[in-house]
Amino acid sequence: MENYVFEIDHLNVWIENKHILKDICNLKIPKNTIFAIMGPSGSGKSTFLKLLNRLLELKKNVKIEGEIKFYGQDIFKIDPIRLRRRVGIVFQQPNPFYHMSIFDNVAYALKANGLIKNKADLINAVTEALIRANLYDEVKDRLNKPASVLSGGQQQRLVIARALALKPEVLLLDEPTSQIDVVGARKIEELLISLKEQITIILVSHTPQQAARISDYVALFYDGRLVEWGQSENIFTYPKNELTEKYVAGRI
Amino acid sequence: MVRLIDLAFQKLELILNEMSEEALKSLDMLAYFKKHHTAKELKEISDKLRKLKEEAGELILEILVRYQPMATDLRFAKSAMEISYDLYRISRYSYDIALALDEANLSLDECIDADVQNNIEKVKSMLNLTIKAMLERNKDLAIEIKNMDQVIDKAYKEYFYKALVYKGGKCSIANLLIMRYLERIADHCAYIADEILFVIKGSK
Ligand SMILES: Nc1ncnc2c1ncn2[C@@H]1O[C@H](COP(=O)(O)OP(=O)(O)O)[C@@H](O)[C@H]1O
Ligand SMILES: [Mg+2]
Repeated sequence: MENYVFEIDHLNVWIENKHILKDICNLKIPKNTIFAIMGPSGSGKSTFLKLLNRLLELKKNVKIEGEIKFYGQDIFKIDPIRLRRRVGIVFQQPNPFYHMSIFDNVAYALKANGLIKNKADLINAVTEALIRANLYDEVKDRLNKPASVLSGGQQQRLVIARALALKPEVLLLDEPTSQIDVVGARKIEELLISLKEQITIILVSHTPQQAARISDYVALFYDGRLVEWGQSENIFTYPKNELTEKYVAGRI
Repeated sequence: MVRLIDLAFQKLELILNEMSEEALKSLDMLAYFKKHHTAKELKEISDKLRKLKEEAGELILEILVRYQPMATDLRFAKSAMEISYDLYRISRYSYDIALALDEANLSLDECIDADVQNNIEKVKSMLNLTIKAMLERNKDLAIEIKNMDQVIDKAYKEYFYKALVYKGGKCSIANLLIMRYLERIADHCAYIADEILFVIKGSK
């Protein structure tokens, strides 16, 4: 029905009276794609991401103007708790509960959201989430070990499993591989590609190369502005905007 | 600060410049055609360009692997690959012209007619312009080159139909072959012009 998960127009954000996102217009996130957001640090990527599941409003002194639609519906009219269940988020630093077991890390999310009635359901749901996060085979023999025994990349996939357990329609990821070793990062990239058949992925990427590898669409943020967005193959080969050209070519 | 990729591109441009000079020289040498002698020299040039094309190809692969170029850089890397091939082909066609003359046991002034002589000059100046357009990344020149190619195409076709009705013996066959090779050289100049436009404008 709706081809776009999010539609953003005339968006402005101020934090502590500082203008952070500046008139983001006509940005549309197509369904079942990997949509990458790139840009230098401080350009407003994380702020934008946190806006999409209304985490940003939890901060003090935030002023938001403009339009964000989620499947055609004004997100500010959707109950934030329900929105966050449909739009999961994963951060840069893997943040599992280190002392909790691998199993419980996922189970906790399900229980906290009241999604599970009995033990059998719980085991099924946790297993399914770990499988979807492409982690199950690596942890199935040590589900009761604490999350701290896992490598950084595995921890990040555990966090993704935790988010997936809630069956979100969208997954927001903020530089999810920037703290992870190359092999771990590659596994996460492969995982994201395998997930996009079922969900839409919005990924803040710390390198244009990563965005080029896995994204279908890409946007460049610069100094709080949306410079250009479009299909990745076009943006990386034939950018229209000079700033995009400079950014992807490593001239700024 | 100079980007690492720019250092590699400088090397690549050196190779392309050398190839351009050699390709130009190969066409030039036809004007001073000497039986057997010229063909031999042109073969050497063409072999050299084939090696340089391989060298350019290896360097471009290395650039892709090391620097993962994007935008204009990516387009230039792709175009340089094509252009190096075009330059090699141009030198190879010059050699083919010399071979055709040798095999028909002709020399340029014996029976090469004025139309063909004229076309050699045209294609030479076309290649000159092509190289200039390449060095300057000049859009207008590139468009001009594409127009020149159409003129050469037309000249070849006219010559072809003329040759069909005119029974001129081996001279006419050699002339026609040369016209044909010149037309191919002009095509490769036009391909290079397309690549130049691709690097500049980036439209598909
Ligand atoms: N709580 C805050 N208070 C004041 N400024 C903030 C706050 N959070 C972010 N900013 C500012 O917003 C801008 C964008 O930050 P951010 O969205 O984190 O950028 P990015 O993720 O692209 O690095 C930065 O200039 C940052 O200093
Ligand atoms: Mg950030």
